[in-house]
Amino acid sequence: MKKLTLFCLVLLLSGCVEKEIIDDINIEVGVGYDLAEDSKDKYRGTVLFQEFQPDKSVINRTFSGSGKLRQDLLLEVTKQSSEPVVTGGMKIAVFGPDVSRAGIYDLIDSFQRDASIGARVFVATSEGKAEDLMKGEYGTRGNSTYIYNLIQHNIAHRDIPKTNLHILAHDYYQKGKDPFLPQLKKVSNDKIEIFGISLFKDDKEVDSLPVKDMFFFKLLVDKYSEGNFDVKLKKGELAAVKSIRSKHDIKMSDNHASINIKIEGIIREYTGDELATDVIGAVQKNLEKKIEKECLRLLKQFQELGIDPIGLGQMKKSKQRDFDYKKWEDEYKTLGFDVKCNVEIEETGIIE
Amino acid sequence: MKNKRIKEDVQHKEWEKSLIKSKDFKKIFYYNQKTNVRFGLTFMATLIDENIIQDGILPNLLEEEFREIEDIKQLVPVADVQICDDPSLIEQKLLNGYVMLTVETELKHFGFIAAQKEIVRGLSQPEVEFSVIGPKEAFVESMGQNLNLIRKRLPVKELIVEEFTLGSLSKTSIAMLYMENITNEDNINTVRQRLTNVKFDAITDSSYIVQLISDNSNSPFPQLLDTERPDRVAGILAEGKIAIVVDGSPHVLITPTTLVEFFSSFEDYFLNWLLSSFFRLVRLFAVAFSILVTPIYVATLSYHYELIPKDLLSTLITSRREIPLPPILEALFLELTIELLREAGARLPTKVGQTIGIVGGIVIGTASVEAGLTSNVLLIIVALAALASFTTPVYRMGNTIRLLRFPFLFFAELWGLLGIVFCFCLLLTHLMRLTSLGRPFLEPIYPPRVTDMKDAIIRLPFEKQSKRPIFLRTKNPIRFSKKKAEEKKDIDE
Repeated sequence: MKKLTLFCLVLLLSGCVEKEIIDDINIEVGVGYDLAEDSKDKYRGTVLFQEFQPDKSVINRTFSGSGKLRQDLLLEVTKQSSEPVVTGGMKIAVFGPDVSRAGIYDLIDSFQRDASIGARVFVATSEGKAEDLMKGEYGTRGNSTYIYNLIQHNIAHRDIPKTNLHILAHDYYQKGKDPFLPQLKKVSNDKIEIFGISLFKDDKEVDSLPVKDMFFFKLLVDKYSEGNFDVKLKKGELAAVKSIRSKHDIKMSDNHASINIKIEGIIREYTGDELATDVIGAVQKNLEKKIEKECLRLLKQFQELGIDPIGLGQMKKSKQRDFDYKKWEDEYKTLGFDVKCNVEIEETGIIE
Repeated sequence: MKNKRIKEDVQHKEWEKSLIKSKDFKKIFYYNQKTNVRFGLTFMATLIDENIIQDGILPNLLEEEFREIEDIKQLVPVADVQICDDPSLIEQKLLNGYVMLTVETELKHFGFIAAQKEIVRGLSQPEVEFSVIGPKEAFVESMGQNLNLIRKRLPVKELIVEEFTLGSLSKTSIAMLYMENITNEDNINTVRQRLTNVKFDAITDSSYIVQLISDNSNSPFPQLLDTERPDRVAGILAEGKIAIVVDGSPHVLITPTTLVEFFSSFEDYFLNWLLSSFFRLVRLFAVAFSILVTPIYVATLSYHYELIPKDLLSTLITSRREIPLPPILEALFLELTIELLREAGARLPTKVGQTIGIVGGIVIGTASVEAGLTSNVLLIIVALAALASFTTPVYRMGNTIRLLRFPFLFFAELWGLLGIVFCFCLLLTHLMRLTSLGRPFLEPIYPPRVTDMKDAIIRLPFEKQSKRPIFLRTKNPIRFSKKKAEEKKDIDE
């Protein structure tokens, strides 16, 4: 009898679990944040939903709302939505330029607190207004899938360093490292492109790197498994180095950081006559030189901005017992760098 | 003296009183041609083989010199001839197919001549545990035939056959088989005790015994394995287990057994160990799939939309768009449809019925999808789950698995994945408490017995199976000595 009563009580508790049947909810798949024009409301959020049609096509639907907190935005959006709005399907979050300059911490914090938002959500900044970016019609599988896949394959094969909500939060909370985010730009109503990398100091955007620097930036902060870079030779020939695998190794000494970059790749395209051994040597040399020069320039640029997206401070902190962060901030301003690069061309394709 | 005579007469009539009402009760008197002795034959015509009377008994008793009852031992060419003077035996003997012989001069003595009519179904192929490779013999309903099939495979004196008669009405003969030099004495005693303690009037099949002697009769899990393959019985006897043969049942029981044994087909031993291990893993996966997949569907769609990959989301949402029912009702509807079809298929006379049932299932399923009652994704899931449940080699366990799905569905609806975990914990607790003949049912998974893993989830080659299972606590745990086993040699070495 006692067991039976206990069992019945347990059944009564079942009312506490909230039921969310997938076809009776509106799943938020992406969100863009801008600053509201009316200064009383802090944020203006644009929430992206997808509506699946019987013929498997997807209609993008956006709702906008403004409020001081992310929850206020959701409340406003719920007012317009025919079904309850849930956040667990979110794949991308885009911050407009004014928000990222004003600071994104409040929103990141809110993402972190929401248990249904995964750690692998992609966070990006946009060149124009995030609302406009959300309101395009990209691809056939829905805007969020389009943007998500765009970022994902560029991380896997191209020049965006590995990033997601988890890494962003980690970089933010990690002392001696500053976060960075990929930057997107709406080109036309059905096209988006990667515009560069936004650099942050704490949670505020301070600068952005153009696309041409992204290769070198990724060499510094991440490792390549499948990169691609074109090398210009003296006579004007071009050689495309493909399938680049890279590793970097940073050694910190008292007031100096030496960075070693190792690259392995194969030559896939060459515009000159014959790809002789000395040409391969020249490609290697030129690439090494170029990388060393550009990386050093980037490092100097970061130093001037007072940001540390590579995490040199964190690197030092992990190796040094009595690390003093205050002292490091001063030290960083005068830190010396040297970059060494070692390029190895493994093959040149199936013909000479 | 007179009193005693009357008493005997009364007793004499007592056994006759009810038997005489039956049409097949026959009592006929004859005179011997040489000595003119009057003798009577009493028998149940439906139980005895008339040929034995006509060819074996009557000609000899009529024509040869027959004076007293002792003579029948020489005159009747039947092996089982008994003479006794206890009238209380008469009823039982007559009903067991003996012919009673009485001689007028010796009324106190009765001769019994065995003349049972044996109607034996011919040996057929195993139908439930069919295997492409290996022996094609299956047990039949006659116990004598079944014991013959087992003994042929284990021609050693250590194979002991102990017989019991159970059932106050059915008087079913039940044989317990074990290897005297291998099987654990405690196990033998437990089975013996449980069998003798059985109180039931009519035992018509071994299934009764399964339910009457199992450790926990409230468990949905069968704790005795039943098989129709003589080779399997011989195999488990050699391992040190006990077999129970019930007269009138083509299924022999095996005990003690473990959960994993229910998912191992005997065909596994006929195949190479790599193949059989793979098939066993497939089967275990099928079981987990069959129990869990519909509950997971219900849980995910009702509570955990976050878990669905973004590419699958559109498939699921579009398939459910037009469905008016919540996932749980949709799932119950389809699961019950499948159960209906299975039940109907089982009741239909031939195997064709089953095929029609499955075809009907697909037709009904497709129609219900078109009508917008269920989603096509769920239809695939339920059909696959049903298919997976039929891979279990032991039919009894297959039924259990189909039943288990429903509590899981209930908890999935209640608390989502948490409910499934909760239900799984309940199931695990139950399985851990379960015993077969007092031996842990979940062995070798729990308690973990690494050496018994060699023939559980996977099956290692025979060279590695040099020891009998630990949990059986056999008298002789060594199957063969590895040291004495010679290396395989090439002929030209």
